[in-house]
Amino acid sequence: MSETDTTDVGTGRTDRDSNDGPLLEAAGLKKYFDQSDGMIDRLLGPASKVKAVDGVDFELGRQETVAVVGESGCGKSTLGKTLLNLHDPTGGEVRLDGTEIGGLSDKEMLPYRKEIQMIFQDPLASLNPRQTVGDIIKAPLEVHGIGEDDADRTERVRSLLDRVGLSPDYLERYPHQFSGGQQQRIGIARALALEPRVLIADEPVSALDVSVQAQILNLLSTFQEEFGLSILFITHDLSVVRYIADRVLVMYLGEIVESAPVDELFESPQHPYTQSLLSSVPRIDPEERSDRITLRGVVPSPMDPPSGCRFHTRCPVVIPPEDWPGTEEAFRFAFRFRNQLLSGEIDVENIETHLEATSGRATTEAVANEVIADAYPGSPADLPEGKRDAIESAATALVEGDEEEAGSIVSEAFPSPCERRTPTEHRHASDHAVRCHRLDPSAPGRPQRIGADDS
Amino acid sequence: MSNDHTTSGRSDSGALDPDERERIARRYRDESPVDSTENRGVYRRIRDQLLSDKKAIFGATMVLLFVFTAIFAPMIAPYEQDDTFGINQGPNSYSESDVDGDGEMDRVWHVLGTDSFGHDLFTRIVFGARISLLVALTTVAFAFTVGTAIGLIAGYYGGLIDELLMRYVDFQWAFPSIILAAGLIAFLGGLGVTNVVIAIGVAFIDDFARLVRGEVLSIREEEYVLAARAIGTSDRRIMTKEILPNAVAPIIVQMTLMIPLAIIAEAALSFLGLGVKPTTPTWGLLLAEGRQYINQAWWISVFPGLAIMVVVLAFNMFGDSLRDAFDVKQSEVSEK
Repeated sequence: MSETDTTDVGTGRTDRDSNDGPLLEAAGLKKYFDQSDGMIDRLLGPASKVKAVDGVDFELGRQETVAVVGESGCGKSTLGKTLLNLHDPTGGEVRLDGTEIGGLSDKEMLPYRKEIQMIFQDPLASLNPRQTVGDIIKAPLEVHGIGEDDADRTERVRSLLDRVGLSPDYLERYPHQFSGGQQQRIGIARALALEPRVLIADEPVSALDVSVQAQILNLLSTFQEEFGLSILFITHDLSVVRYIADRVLVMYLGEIVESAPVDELFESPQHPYTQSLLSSVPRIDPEERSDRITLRGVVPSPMDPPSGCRFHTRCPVVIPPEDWPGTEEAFRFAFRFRNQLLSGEIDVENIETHLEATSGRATTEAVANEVIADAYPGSPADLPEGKRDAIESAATALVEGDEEEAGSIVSEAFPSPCERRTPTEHRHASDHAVRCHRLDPSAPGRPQRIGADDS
Repeated sequence: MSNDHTTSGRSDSGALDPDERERIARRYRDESPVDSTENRGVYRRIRDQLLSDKKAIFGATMVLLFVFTAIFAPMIAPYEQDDTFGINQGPNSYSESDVDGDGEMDRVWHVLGTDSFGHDLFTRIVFGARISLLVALTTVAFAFTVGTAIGLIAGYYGGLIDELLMRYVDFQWAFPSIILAAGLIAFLGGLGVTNVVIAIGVAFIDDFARLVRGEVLSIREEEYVLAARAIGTSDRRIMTKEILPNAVAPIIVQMTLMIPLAIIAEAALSFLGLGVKPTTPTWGLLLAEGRQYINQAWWISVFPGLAIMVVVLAFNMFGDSLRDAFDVKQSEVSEK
């Protein structure tokens, strides 16, 4: 989100600052993965691309912790690796303290690696099983020529182990001899050996027990204060986010849909996706529990992301078109029916077999009715006249095996502005940006403000 | 996290005060690593498994015996390798000769008989072990060095480099190795141990290249390789320090399995007259010479043949057991 006027809540000032801009920033960052492998695939036609990160803008202030949250497969890990140039970005820019580092070669990147480091989700997998802890932590020192000689470097490694809460005597041990929490401490020691300014933490506590998670998070907090670290914290665990982050970016299918300071995001989430994510966080206090918003449908493939607003296929508050005659709820039910049909989730054969088994006979009409009952959440009787027919004829076409026809019927009968127009960024507050048509006063359709309707 | 609104929001769980940090740190120090008995456990596990495997023990014993014979050949062999006695004498026969050079004729026992030149066959076979071992070890070392380098580079860089290198390896793989070796000897000119080593070594490169490339392809996707890249580690260091040590088990197994093949290849080349100089005692050469007299003196061919068979079998058995012992999946199942 191009926040030129960001009020960086988490920006602390340290004497290492060389200018006032953000320490790490990305503008329009893109990373597509080529699905084709080999020459023959390339000759056969344009390759399908997985759009793992698709136009991400963000800023990471000095000593700030920004969390990136989202479901698995939304591209948050890829974002982290692309920032570090472990993946070549497909497009966009990455600036570290004002210097463009996106797409630098390994050699050109070397000096910047001292500034930006990473810790990984699976601590054991990120440690070479054939190297001792000493070798592992010493590697960055050797690569960057830090320390006078081997003895000096060993001494540094010992003090690093001590700082992350491990005994310096563990130097000669192998990674598999440690517990998960200890392994992650080793990973942190390796990342901090170069005294970086930015730490990209890719789900650093997801693989750990809850009690150990807290210890690792505390360790990170301590180091943040000691070194003046900025942390980009990638996670799917919102309870962790609240605990560690200053600001949160919510990612869906390669895009950032909402960004806000952590307290604001938890108190008044604006994007329907964020709302459903937050409603799934377990709460001890029953007063605080909100109604759970369960997302239906599968996560669309990032190879062929939905048009317009990428969330429209699963959005619980999708916007009806302006000429929609019925209630908003009826539209949502119809739209869900449409999406189930379009994504091929309706298993006609199964319904047919089931019907045959229970009533002995399965006419097209009976199966079509069953399909509607199965995939349409409400009662089709609430739908306006013409639209009810559309549902019925689509169901009949589907049962008769004409999926294309069924698809075009529902697509035509139930269009939504959400699938036509890509939402632009709307600033809910000065430091709270959302991409959703509902919050955009100029958006088409008939949006009711979220919460205003009684669904 | 240093700002006001966050610290106040989670003062109970935020940054630790030094005392608490020290307490946690101490707890971690007191806690011994998950199981200290497993220090260098992989090697112990492999040793234990090999010791419990009769095939492995038999193989290892024969291999050691072979190596011992090769090293101490002059002490083990009853006579000098060029001493001549009566020709084509059968096993367990005797001849008269002045072996100790004291001017008197001694009664000489030929356990395995003599060959068509009158050499004592047992002596020739014992000395032949030296050539076989020398050729086998240097050949495999040569093939390992070149093949591993090709496999590492092809697997790590991928793309065009991979295509080019592996197409060469495919070409070599499709080409019969004994013919390739024969062609190389013709190209290098002349007989001799060095040429044999180069010829067989080149013919074995593809096996190592394929194996190592396959290993590299899977290892380079490991997260610790990514972690090494994140640190800024150079490609060369990643290949030698991160990837290669993790591919060492299958490489060792491959080496033990290639040694018998090298012994056979050397014997085959000598048999064809393309190996070492005709006067050198090698098993292949003995086999070839005996061929002409197979009707009158079967022992000349049969005993060197048996020697080849036993040594090759021993190496194979040992190699197979070693591979089983290194097979992590299998051992994990049995441990749980």
